[in-house]
Amino acid sequence: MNPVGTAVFGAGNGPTDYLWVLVLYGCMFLLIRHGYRRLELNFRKSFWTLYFAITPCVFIANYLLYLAGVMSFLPWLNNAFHCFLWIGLCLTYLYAGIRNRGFFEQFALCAILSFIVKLGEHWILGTWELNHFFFIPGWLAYVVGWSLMDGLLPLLNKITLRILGNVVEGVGTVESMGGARWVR
Amino acid sequence: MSHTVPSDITPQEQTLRLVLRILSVLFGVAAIAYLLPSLIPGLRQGWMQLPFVTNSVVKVSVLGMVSFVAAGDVRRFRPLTVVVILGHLVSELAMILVLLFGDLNPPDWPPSFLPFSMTMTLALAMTLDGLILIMLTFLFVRADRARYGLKYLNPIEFRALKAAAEAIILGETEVITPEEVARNVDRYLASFKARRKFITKFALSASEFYPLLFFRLPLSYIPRNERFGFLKDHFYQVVALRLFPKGLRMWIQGMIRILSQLSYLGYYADQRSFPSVGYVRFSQRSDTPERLKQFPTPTPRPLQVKTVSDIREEEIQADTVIIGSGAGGSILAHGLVEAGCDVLLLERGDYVDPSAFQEDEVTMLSTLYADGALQLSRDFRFQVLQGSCVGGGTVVNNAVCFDLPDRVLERWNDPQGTNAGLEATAIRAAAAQVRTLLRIERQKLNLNSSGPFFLAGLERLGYHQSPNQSGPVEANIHDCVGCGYCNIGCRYGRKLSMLDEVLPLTQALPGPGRLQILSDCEAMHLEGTGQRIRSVLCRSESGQRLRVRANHFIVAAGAINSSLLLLRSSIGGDRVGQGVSFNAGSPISAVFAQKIDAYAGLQISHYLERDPSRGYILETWFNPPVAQALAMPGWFEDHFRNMERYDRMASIGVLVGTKSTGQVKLGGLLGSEIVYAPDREELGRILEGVVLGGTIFLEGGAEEVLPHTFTYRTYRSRQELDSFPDEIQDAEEVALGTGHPQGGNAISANRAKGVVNPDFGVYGYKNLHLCDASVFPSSIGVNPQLSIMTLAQYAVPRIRAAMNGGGH
Repeated sequence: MNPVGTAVFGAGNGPTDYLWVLVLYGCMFLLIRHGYRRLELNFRKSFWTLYFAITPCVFIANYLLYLAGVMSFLPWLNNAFHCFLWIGLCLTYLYAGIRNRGFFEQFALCAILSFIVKLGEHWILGTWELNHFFFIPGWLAYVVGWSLMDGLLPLLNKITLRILGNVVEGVGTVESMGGARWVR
Repeated sequence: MSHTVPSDITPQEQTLRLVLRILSVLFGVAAIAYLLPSLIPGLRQGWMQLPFVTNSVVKVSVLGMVSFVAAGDVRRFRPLTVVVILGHLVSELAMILVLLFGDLNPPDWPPSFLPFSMTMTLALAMTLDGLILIMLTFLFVRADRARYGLKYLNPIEFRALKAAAEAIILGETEVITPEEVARNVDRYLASFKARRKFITKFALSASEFYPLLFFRLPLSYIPRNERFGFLKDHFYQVVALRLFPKGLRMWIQGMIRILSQLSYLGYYADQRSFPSVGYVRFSQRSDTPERLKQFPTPTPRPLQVKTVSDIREEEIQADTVIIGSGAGGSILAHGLVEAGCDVLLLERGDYVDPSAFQEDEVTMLSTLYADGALQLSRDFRFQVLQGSCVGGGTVVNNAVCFDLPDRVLERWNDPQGTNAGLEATAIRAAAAQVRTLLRIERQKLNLNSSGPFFLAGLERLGYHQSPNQSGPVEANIHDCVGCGYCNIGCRYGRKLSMLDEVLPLTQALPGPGRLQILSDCEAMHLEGTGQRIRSVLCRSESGQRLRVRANHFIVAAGAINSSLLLLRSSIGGDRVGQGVSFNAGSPISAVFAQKIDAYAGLQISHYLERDPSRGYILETWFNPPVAQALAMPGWFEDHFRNMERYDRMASIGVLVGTKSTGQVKLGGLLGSEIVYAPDREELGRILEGVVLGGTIFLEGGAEEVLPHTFTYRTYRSRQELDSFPDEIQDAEEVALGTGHPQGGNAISANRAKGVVNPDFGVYGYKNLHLCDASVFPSSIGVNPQLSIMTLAQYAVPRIRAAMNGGGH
């Protein structure tokens, strides 16, 4: 594979590997959707607002953090998948379902699912490979550390919606209709 | 119904005959061609050594002879055309297998004189056989359709139904042939559009081929004298004796139920059957002129209704849109127009002027009911009837009115429970307003003639006294003439339904507010941004789309359809469609020694509600022949004999308020489904009610009583009847139905427990309200229409306040 191909796919990776990543995302989405069956009409605009406001920023931030030396290089396709599919669609959908739960519950759910996906991407694509998280040494610290950072995504979403809700009609932190069913 | 049967063969059959003749000639020529090499020495090389030539000669010769005979009389020898078609099908399959798995170039294969490879030769033969197969099948189906004049069913389904009807309608005095029965059903099914109709087609096709599982011919080919035995052994007994696993049994029960119901419908809807069951239509009863003279039919009030096809634009604007014109929607419309609002009322069903109501049950079932009354729960065992026309369920219900019971309201308002947050005093005031508006009164004229027997039984058992409540029902019926057509629309203007009374009154209200009605307009999706609903996307039966924009939206489409609309629109979260309950009904019929003509009077006229409540109420109940036949216990000759005693029969319906364990869901075979099965406790109450109903009739003079169970049972004494609950293993045994679905979008002051707040606003939306039976947190256990109207009346000032900027 030439250098451009390596930069896009990652060393030794091909379309089949990315297909497996999609399968992983699909399974995770099914898990997420199990607890929240459909995106509430009153949150749809907010959902897409978050998607377009946050995911491109994360995409760019991942590269900048790599340049800063605090993240490993994510091949461009891996970065795009991770940002636009995993964070943008799956984690934002998860947020839509859990947005009126407690902060720690939101934090834990996002962090745990994110950890699973990072492990999966590491296993399939060989990415997320760095031996420290800021000043904490070790690969595990690196993966766990960034997963915990992902756990803050609900907070970021909430702040974004608060700000954008002032300027975009129909966007806001509407209370979720999810939660425990009252009759089983 | 009378129909003409084409006596000569149709042009389509003539074409089939011609093609069969041509094929017989071609097959003959092909047989000779195969044999020619043996006769002409120059051709011997190649052909003669092909090992399958003799097989081919046999094949084409047989097909040729069969085609020749079939062409001789395409009707009489119809099965032979099927043989020719199946022969080609088998040939195609065989060639496919050879192409896929056979050795097409064996080393010892002699060279063919044909310029093709073996693969190409097979491909050409497949193409030829395929063309013949497709052409013959098409012509055969077309000829059958033309022969029977089919409008909806295909010939396989038609023949299955005809064959089943021949065995199911089993009596010595049959007056309608099975073919006429099947033809009546075909016309009925063609007369309305419904997504669920394909289930009927599926069940008929499955029934036709079901005997193949037992190495028998398809149902319509089983000899007539053996077919009854087959139906009894492999449909009825399989379910009654539980010979198959539950899942499979459910499908078989569904099949036999659909087969029998369609057969009854086709037979008893035909007026030639009326004398045999002792039924006389209202227009032909001797006392009808007198009744109509005594209480002349009131002048109908004009009602202006448009349909979607009247609208040229793809998008229209309104101020307030109400979805659903039934008990809830119409009362809301009345209240809001009275308060000065402009209201557009959307109704999925058609507008049928009461003067167009007919005595023909089948016509009215297809016109006034959702899915032509074919709506069943997912397991095919529970029938859910819903009106679908301007006026909704109030046009086809029995107009029976019970106040919302105090104990139910207390339960709803329990802060530890649903915490509905309804103000009891205001609820009572709203009920009083509705009572005045609809002139609700205790019925006294032309009651059901089973009433005296019911009352006599009550008296003998001591249930006629306080604190039990019994006697004639209260209803929004005025000066009833006793036609007995409450469930197919009262054309005499006596039932003060939304169609007859409230909607015309509302359109006539003076003042700034006005009401417009759009029928044939099914709300598919609510659309919006953030917490505001902007529009509702609607569709007519013909598929025309219309987007209605408005400032305020109120959903009142009934317990099933409101939930489905919210689910389709992704509104209300996971609680929508959950906690659905019913008033499950199971009837018991009684046979009396004398003619009582229970059909000739108010359909539901008397009731008993025990105090303290036992969790059920009893109501006398009777129907015109089709509806009664559909509910009549017994199979085959038992059913026929019971229908012969129709004019000596009476029925009691047992209504049991179920727990909130049902669900309305999107998905499944039909795109949506109702999931419900009664538990042991509910079944216990149903059985207790059935026993009490039977006991009342036995004490009132009945010769025998017949609970409506899958296995036919009759009881002639109280002692025998007491053992009935012990004979019932589970709910699978008992016939259940309801016209009263409730719940699914519970009202609650607690957002975590409800979909709708105490002001009827849907949580999470500023301009969306919901008010119908779907907001009931639990079943109310009595006929719910007055409670629905009461809640709607109660909701009017609250919704009005929200519209004016108050709100939730």
